[in-house]
Amino acid sequence: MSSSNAAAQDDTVLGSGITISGLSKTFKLGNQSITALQDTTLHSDKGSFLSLLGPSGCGKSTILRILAGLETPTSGTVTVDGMDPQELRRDHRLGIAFQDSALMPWRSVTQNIRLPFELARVAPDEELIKDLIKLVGLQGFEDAKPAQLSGGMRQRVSIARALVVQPSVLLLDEPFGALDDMTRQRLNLELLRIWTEKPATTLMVTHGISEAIFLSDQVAVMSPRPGRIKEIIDVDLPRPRTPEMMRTPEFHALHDRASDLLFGSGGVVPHDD
Amino acid sequence: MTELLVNNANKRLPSWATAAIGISATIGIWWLAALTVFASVGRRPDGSGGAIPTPLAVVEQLIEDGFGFYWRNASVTLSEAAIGFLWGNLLALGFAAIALIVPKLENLTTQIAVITYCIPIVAIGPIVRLVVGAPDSGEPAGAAIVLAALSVFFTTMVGALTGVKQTDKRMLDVVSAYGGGAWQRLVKVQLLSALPSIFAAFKIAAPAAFLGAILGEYVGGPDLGFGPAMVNAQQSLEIARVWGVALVSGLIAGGGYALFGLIGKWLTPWAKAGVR
Repeated sequence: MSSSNAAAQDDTVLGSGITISGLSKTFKLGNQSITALQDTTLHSDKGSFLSLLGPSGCGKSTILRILAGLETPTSGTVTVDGMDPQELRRDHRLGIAFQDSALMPWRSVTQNIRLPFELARVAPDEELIKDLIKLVGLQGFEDAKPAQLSGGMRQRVSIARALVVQPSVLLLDEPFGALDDMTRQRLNLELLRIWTEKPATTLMVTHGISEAIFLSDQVAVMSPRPGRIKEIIDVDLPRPRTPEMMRTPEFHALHDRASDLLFGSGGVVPHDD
Repeated sequence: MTELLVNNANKRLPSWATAAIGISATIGIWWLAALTVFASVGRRPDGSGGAIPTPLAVVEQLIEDGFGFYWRNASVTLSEAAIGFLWGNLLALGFAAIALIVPKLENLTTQIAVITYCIPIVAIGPIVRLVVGAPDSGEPAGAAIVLAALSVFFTTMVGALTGVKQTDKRMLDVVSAYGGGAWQRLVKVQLLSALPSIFAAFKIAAPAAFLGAILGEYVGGPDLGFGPAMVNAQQSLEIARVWGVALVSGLIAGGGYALFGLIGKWLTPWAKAGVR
């Protein structure tokens, strides 16, 4: 019923990377209970990029929120490098960026990126902050407030903030979902470049098929109500990846396969992004 | 890359111009009405007096009474308003904090706030006077301080609570995910998120405290202050002076509103910037 390759991953339960096993989440609404996520098992290697792809309501964000320690699972476990979400939070091993940049409007770019250090009560690594601002292309905006930045720039800050903790796992919840298409494509390229320079085990939640395939090593395609993993697609496109790859037959084949899984086979589905 | 704002405002009149036109029109209508339709209002049989003086008469009286007269009275009322403002807001923020720390008590604290808002302060003025007694000559009246405090309690408490509750959930998620606890969520996010609405509440509370203090003076029995100044002027039929004191009271109340508006703007510049 659940993921087809669960058995293949049993031998890596205590290994490094993201390990999700038998994860279920049920929400109570009055006397009704809604199963957001059912018996999900998933593994990704350390340093790899995993995307959860699916329509809204398929529980993909729930997986991310459980990993971030923002929700507790009804059953099952998640670990990253053998640590559970509470340990990850306590040791400040999580980097997270949401669709909404969630920057603090009273803080400048630098101060926003510094926040995780303050929460960890450690001295901020100002060199690293400077490097990251450069890496995400925001030199000259160090002292700007979020209101003075465009939506895309705010997301860059949010990603720099996620990377500043040098996380064991980078969680991206539709990081560019609220942006216009052109900005989104540009930022996907940026993210690829950033991720290549600062590799981190990454879990991205998205409903964009192209971006999932373009960025990921593995794409877990999910189905809604109850949320579960239909299939995991291994993206065997070589790295470093270039935008030209998006026009290759291999890319289109992967795209079609994901579309088929999402929308059912046979249907002609326009490429969404 | 900062987006340039297209200035649409230059097609409309600048705000100082609309204000100037509004004020001129009000004074003009007042003047005209004082000389025509209202000329006989409150006039004594011998033809003297009249309840509605012209703006000129009020200004002449203002100049005649001079700064000294106004300062003597304003300083008393202002200190009552300031002390009441301080205590009322401190209590309101304290109650809001209790409601946040112990959510079970939120209903109770809100009910207390609603009660302070619903009781007509004119009605409890005499009771307060009985409890706190009359002030010494030239001293601020206790009743005026209490009424000023009561006038600000509700707005500030509700403002603080709404402000904290309006906090962006994502920001709280971010703090949690990076290992922050309840205390850090409160200090790093919620309090700062609440600041704009707290200042908005202060802005309304400032004139409310001043008017509360004047009302308190009516029953509180100080011998100086805008309340007694108005009552005395009224009883001695110094009509233009009554108007003068009322006018200056309005200006001071408006000034308080403007002052806290500016402080809020200065301390919470992000509040109106249309974040996100």
